[in-house]
Order: sequence, then structure tokens, then C-alpha cells
Amino acid sequence: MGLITAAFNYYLQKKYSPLNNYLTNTTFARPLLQRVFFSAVLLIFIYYYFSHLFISQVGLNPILFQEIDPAYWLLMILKIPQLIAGNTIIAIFFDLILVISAVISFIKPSQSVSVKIFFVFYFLYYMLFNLLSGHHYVNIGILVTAFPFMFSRNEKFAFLFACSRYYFLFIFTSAALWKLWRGSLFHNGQIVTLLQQKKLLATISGDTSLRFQIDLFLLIHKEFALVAWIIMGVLELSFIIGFFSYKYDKILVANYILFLTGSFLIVGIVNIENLLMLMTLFPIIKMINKVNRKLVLVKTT
Amino acid sequence: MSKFGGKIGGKKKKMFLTKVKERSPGLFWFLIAFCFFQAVFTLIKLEVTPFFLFGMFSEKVNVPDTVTIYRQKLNGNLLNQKDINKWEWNILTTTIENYDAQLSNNKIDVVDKRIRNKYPGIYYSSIFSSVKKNITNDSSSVNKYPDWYKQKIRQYTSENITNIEVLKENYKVGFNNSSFQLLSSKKILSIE
Repeated sequence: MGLITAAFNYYLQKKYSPLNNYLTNTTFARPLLQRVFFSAVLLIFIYYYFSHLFISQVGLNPILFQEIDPAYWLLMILKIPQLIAGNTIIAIFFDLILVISAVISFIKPSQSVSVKIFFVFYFLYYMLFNLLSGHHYVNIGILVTAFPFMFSRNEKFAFLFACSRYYFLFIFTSAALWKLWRGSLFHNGQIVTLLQQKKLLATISGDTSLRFQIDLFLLIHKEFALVAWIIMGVLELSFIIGFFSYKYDKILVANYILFLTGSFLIVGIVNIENLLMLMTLFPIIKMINKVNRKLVLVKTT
Repeated sequence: MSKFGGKIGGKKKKMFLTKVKERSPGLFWFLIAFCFFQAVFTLIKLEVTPFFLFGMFSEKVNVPDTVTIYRQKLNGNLLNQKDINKWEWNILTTTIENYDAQLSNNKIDVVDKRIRNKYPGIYYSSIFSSVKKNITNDSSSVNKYPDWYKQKIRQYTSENITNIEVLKENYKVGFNNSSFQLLSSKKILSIE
């Protein structure tokens, strides 16, 4: 049966359109996709632990950063931060549920109950962390990629995984369009301001790292800073192509890695959670499905 | 299995949404509603999680001629970015910034003023008035902050820190961004 499935899967890949191929690959690779996703989540959780990022480790910051976002207001009205972060035992339980639900989702990829629990708790975690840490970080990679796994029906899962891909494309396309709309894509104000602050902090602390040398070079040669800024904007804009075709996803994987490298070197921002959204691009799905096919073949023989 | 593959696949090329509408009408309308709310909130520039605005440093800013930073001194020694984890550094500096903003605003939450200026319709509504107390930080939040900050410093450095000072410093940027001249320094937090 496994051999037939693998052969049929291969046949579909050769015969149908990229969208159909994407949906089919996603469907067949689902259990392995879930395992890969939750193993990455668990690795991120290890990083959280050592960086003191779990709610029980952050604790109840008395000055909550709600900003103008009614969703955060709702949490404050319901006194959720005080209830969870304000009580060490409840906070530890909260973190444990988060980790355990991820572990179960990894061990048992054929069910979705633990994923639903994980999603609800991670959504709460995401909002609580932003309230307590003093900034609204958009580390939404885990949320965007986990959402489809909540649905046990294969067809719905495949469609939602494609939706997560579209959302990933939307994030970058939208960022580029905002820059074009506001006229900041060809303006070096943002990048020079960021670099100035970084340089001052580095000077004070006696930093001589490679990153500091790059910052210094860009600050002195503002024309290069502007070129780097424009390249980053163009990389963001390139994601628009994914709305029209699945054929160029390979290029988008490369562009994302380039963007991430630039973001790390220039702005100093790397969201490891957002790396998970790469899973929604076609080459990664194909790669996972290929491994899945091999595993099926090994099992049958 | 083949039946399912045939259903979801098919030789005829169709747009994604058309396919979703045919196969899963409930999901189709969910997607339409999501896109609608995303478009509305984008137009009014209001972020309501999960409808995010991905501006990503898109605001047009002019290069300033001064830079403000917060320097944290622990037992008289300067805390450097490389001394602690990136996230720990971010948490310390952003929360200090928020503390300073509220302190400078007579301990009144700065968000209160921002909502009033940006969305007067929401601010003066009866619903908002009734919940305002619950969604803004008050002077007691500001008073409690130093204890939490001290706890974080001890947790991040794993050292017995007895004396903490946070200075807000303003620097003038020199020619070609190559030098910085200290203009002012103000102690905003002191914990013994």
C-alpha cells in the first residue's frame, strides 16, 4: 500500500499544475511536516529557556506594554497578565502546558488535539510576552505555521498550509509596499538612524566585531547604506511573485536567506521563529515529502 | 488515497481561491472575512492582533543630529550589550524606555495621550471611558517597576548586584557620524 502511495504521489507531481502539486505534496507529507515543525519549535523552546523568555522567567512587569491594540486591551481588562505572570505557580503550569503540548504534537503527528491546545497557549504566550517585554515583536512564524496543523482533515490542512504560505508572502510584500507608499525605500533616514545608535553603543562598550566594522563602513559611506537599504526593500518586494506562481519558490527561499543575513548584519534583527515560515515554501515541502516517500519505502520493504 | 488525490488535484488549472470555494466553502468565507478585516485595519492604520501592519521600518525619518541611549551601571560598572543575551538586553532597554516615558509624563501612561490624539472617536466613547482604568498603567505601576528591573538584572547577570544606576544620555552626532559628543546625562533610576 505504501509503495502504491509513493508511486501515485510521484505520478501526481509529474502530471499536475504547481498549485495541485503543492497541495498534494503537503497532504502526503503532513505527518513528517508536523514532526519537523514541532521539533523546530522544541529547539526554539530550549533557546527560550536559556534566554529566560518563558512567562515564568519574565515575570510580571508592572508597566505593561499594551500600545494601541484592542486585543492587548482585552487581555488587560480580563486581568490575564496578572493571573498568569503574576503567580509563579500558574506561570510555570502555563509554560509546562505549552512545552508538553508541543512534545505530544511531535510524538503523535496523526492527531490535532494537542496542536489545538498548543496554538491557544502559544497565542496567549505571544501576547503576554509582548505585554511584559515592553515591545510588540512580530515573531509570528510559529503562529502562522502552526495554524494549519490544528485541522485534521487533510484537504483543509493542505489549503490552510497554502494560506500560511500566502501570509508569509504578504508580510514581505506588504513591508515593501509600505516603504514605497511612504517614500522611504529611496531614503536613508531609517538605516542611518539605526546605525548611529548601534555605533554609539558599540563605541561605548569597545566593540570591534565584524558587524561593528560593517556598521561603521555604512555610516561613513552613506551611499552604500542606501544601496543596502534598497536591496533589502527589493528582496522584500520579490515575494510578490509568489502570489502568481509556485514556480519561483526556490528563488524566494534564497531571497529570504539573503534578507535575513542583511537584517542580521545591518539592523541586528533575526527572528528565529519566523524562519519556520520557510517550511511553507514549495522546495522545502518537496524536500520533506521526498524524505517522507523514502521513509514509506523503507517501511514497506 | 487516489480518490482524494484526484479530487484535490485535477488537470484543469484553477486559481487557489476558486479551488477553496469549490472544495471548502466555509474556509473560503473565513479567508474572505480575514482579508476584509486585514484591509480595513490597514486602511485605518490600526493594529488589532492578529491583523498586523507590517511596516518594518517604513516610516520616513530624517537623520537626527542627536542620539539618545540608556546606560546601565551595575555596582558602578557599565553593563554592555555583549555581557548578556540579546533578548535580555532588549527587555532591559525597552522596558527602561517605557518607564522613562511614563515617568516624564507625570507617571501617566503615554498611551492614553496617543489614543486621544490618534483615535478621539474611541477615546471619548462611553465604552472606552469605562475600561480606560484597566488598560492603562498608573503611577503604582511606575513605582513598582524598579523592583522588577532589579530582579531581572540579578537573573540575567547571576550576580549579587547591590547598586544599580540607569542614565539617560543625549549625544550630538559629529561629522560623518564618526564621533559623538555628550550633551546631557540624567539619572532616571537609582537602586541601592
